[in-house]
Amino acid sequence: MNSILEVEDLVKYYGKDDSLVKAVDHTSLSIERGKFTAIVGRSGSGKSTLLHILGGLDYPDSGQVTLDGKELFSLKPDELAKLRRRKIGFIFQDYNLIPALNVWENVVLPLGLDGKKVNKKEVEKILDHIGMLDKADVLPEKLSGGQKQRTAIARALVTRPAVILADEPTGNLDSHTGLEVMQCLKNCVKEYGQTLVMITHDETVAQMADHVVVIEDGKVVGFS
Amino acid sequence: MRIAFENMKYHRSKNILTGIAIVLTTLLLFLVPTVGVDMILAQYEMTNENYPTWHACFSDVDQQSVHEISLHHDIKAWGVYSDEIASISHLPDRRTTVGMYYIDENAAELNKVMIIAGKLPEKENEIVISKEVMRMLHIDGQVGDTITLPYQMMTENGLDYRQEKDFVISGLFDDTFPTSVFPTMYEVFVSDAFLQEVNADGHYYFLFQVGDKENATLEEIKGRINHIAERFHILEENYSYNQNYLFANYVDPAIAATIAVIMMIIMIAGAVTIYSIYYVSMSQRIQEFGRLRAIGASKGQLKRIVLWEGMLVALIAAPMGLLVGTVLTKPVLYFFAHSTGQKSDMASMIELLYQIIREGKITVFHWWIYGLALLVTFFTVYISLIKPMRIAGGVSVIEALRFTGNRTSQRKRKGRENIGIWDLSMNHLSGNRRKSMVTILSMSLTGVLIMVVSTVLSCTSPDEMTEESFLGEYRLMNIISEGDKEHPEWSWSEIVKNNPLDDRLKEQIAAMDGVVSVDAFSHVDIDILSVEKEILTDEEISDIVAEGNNGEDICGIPESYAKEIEKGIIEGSATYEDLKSGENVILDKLFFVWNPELDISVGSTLKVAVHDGDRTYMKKLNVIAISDYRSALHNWNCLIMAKQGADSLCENNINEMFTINAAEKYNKELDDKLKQMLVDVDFMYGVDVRSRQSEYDINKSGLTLIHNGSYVFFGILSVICIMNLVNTMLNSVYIRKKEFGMLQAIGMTDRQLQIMLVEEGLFYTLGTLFVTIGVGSALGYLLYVVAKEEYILGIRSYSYPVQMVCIIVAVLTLIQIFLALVLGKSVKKESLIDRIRFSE
Ligand SMILES: Nc1ncnc2c1ncn2[C@@H]1O[C@H](COP(=O)(O)OP(=O)(O)OP(=O)(O)O)[C@@H](O)[C@H]1O
Ligand SMILES: [Mg+2]
Repeated sequence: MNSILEVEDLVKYYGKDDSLVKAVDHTSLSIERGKFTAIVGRSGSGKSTLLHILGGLDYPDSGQVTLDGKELFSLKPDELAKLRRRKIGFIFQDYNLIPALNVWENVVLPLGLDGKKVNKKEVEKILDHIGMLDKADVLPEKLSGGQKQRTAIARALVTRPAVILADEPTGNLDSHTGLEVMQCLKNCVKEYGQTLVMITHDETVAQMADHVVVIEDGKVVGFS
Repeated sequence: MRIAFENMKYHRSKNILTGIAIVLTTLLLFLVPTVGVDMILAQYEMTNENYPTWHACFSDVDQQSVHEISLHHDIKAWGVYSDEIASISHLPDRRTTVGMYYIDENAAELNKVMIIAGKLPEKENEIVISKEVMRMLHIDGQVGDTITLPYQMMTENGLDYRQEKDFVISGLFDDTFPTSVFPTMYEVFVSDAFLQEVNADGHYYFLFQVGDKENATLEEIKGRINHIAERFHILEENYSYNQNYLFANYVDPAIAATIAVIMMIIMIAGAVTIYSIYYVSMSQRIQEFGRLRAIGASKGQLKRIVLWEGMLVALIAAPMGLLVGTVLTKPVLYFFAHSTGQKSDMASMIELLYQIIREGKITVFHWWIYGLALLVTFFTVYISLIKPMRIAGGVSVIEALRFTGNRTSQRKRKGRENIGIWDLSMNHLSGNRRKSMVTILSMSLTGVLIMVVSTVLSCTSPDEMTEESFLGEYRLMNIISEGDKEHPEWSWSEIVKNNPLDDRLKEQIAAMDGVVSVDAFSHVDIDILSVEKEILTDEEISDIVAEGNNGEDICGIPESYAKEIEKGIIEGSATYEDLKSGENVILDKLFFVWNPELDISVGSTLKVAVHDGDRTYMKKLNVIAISDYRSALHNWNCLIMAKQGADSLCENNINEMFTINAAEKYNKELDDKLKQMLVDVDFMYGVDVRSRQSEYDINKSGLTLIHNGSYVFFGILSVICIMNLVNTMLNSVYIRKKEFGMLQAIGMTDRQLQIMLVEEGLFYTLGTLFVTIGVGSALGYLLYVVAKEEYILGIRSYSYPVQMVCIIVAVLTLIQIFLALVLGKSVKKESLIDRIRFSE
């Protein structure tokens, strides 16, 4: 198996003694390159925590995460930030757009942070793909939930990251819109040969995945 | 109330900042009046320690009247001393006199007769004498010793033949009275018994204080004294006021006004800062208020939440301010006492002040100032909360729910194609334009104030101030005091009859070692009777003449300054030659400051009354030019002639001042010699001997006091206003915590975040600097012009406060960068993931 992400004996505990929460408990996992992996599990089982550690947003208590042969947590914070903006695209459950920037600016922001020039055609193509081209000048507060989510997707895609990590991107959407967003995400990923790791509670979404990881109490209990 | 308390804890950082602002505001509100009042009290105390404390004195009062007057209800304290009983003879020179008096205990106290050993005389042969008098008589004695004194009794026809008597010294007193420059009149005191023996129906001087002086003005006290005098038929020439004492104890309303103005400034700075802190934090809480509204809070309740929150902070902060103020008061008083410098003539006075404070001779703390400071602080907090309260009350539910951190009415905005760190910073700032403006403006307010005052201060320099008021290296000047009933001989018309500054003295000085030259300046008293055709009737003229000298003065300037005279002309033209005739005058600009109502210009003819000793005559003078001279040149006499011209108007010797040019800048020996020489010269008037050096020292210590005071004050004021910057930046970070997390999640490095914060802060700094330096410089220049016109602080030339500008730029920039770094660090401290998860 050609894996892009390797997780080895990852541990992340919160609290102490009585209130000890084993959010990630000795998890090992590998994600296949170019495939769609879904992570499922009950609420509070530690999915988000795992995803954040995968993306280098959070630090584990112990264990390693290797992305394309590079161990994430041995990097300096600023190097990690650079790696993040080049190799990883994040999509959050609650969109996390910058309110003061319009759709276009939100989308091209990762490029700007990296000091890259914007390829206008390229960005327009992505916006077109997710059906947001006509809303490029609109500020986030005037967008609907689905539109915001699609903007967030575009932002995750714009740097052409190798891996896209998505935390319940359809959680706030009705099933129809959810499917639409899913579809558009899948298409993009396929087109550019990206790896997609997505947390979901949605059965139908999980069924679209190439692999499904089941998490319970911080442990991987199933993989298919 | 409960919610307010919880809020207070929740919005801790903002409330800490508000708290600091309030503590500092209270501190200043307390410190300024306390130090002001204490300085005044210390000055009173100093006066009371040194000056006789009686308010007025009736002379020629017989025993019966003494008894009657003393019963008057408005007399608080009184004492008597006798007319001069006798005069001690065998003195080293004629101008020194030692009078023999009887004084009672109360009068001794009121007249500050300082018994340093023993007590007042009781027995017929007892006497109180001073070391100084004994020295002059070449006797040496202690309390209990018997001495023989030669004296002449005072009779109606003058002094009687000399006689001698043995006296027992019952007490010694100290007669080194600090205010008399050249003491020539001394006293010894004998007992009532002695008085009775030699002069049964003696007349007395009756010294007294009228009822409580605390809240009486000078005029009021004089009125009451007059009232008593009238009641007992005391003739006007038989009573006098203790001018020095009354004046020194009189509260100048201008001081109270100054303190009030300074307090107003503090209030405004405090209010603007607190307001701005609340204003900036308000938007962050709109959601919170919206939710409270959604669950049914009324407008009034929301307002009360804001009010109570502010008041609770003030409740904690204000007492802290008072506490800090209480601790700081004495150090500040000492600081003021010290900063005036030790070298100057003022040093001894400052030392005295220091002592007064240290020995607790005055009450340093006043409960009413505590009350006042608290009251004003709470009032300040209240007014600064009015607007935030209104905002809180006006929050609507829907607005709060839709609210996303910055309120923009626009739906769309044309975006930039590329977006970088700089754009992010600018985006934030322009999205929060009002907040940014409020912050910048409120900070600039203090900045401008500092700029304006430091411009004026930078225009002052002891060198220039001295140059402005002093010619030569040393100066001898007649001390003129007009209208002093006690000393009619100190008026100019009397001095000229026996002017100590005569040619003989001038030559004597010129011959001294180290003296290069001596210049004499003359002074003529005149009254302007009419200008050109506006003719006064004879009656009006005689009225003016009868009123005596209340008008203008002519200054006769020696030829050595001919060039400066010609150079300083701003209108018309005149040569020194023109001024020699006594027909032509130059008017100094100062004249118009004092007489704005007179319509005089170049070419006008003035009809004046010239006073020359007892003689007064009419004269016409042509105004040939208008000038702008330094005050040293004319010594505030603003009609200018050549010395020769002025002298031609009078028969008497009208030299007012000698200026001495010396080879060396300052020579202690020469200074002392000059002073000694004046003591040796036979004169009965006051001549002020001063060196440029001492004038410089006085100016310097005065200016240092003003400078230090201002800088301490502005230092604290700027800390108040910097709270603003701290709050704004803290706030902008706080409400964007999640945003920053987001930006970092998509790849912003810590460095980039730091840069962004620095850029944003830099905007505030630059904005504030721009307004401060721009507006401050302009207003500062304006104030300089006014100060120059009004002859304030001897300001003559403009000097830009470069140093202050550098300090402001450096301090603001450093603080801002420091803030950005600290804030960046504090953002980093919280893990990225916590920030992303953070909502609200
Ligand atoms: N910062 C934290 N401090 C303490 N406990 C935490 C923290 N973050 C997460 N947890 C705990 O870790 C556990 C796993 O949380 P996580 O968010 O990963 O769950 P999840 O599987 O994503 O749940 P959901 O499906 O509801 O999103 C939870 O029990 C949560 O309470
Ligand atoms: Mg989750």
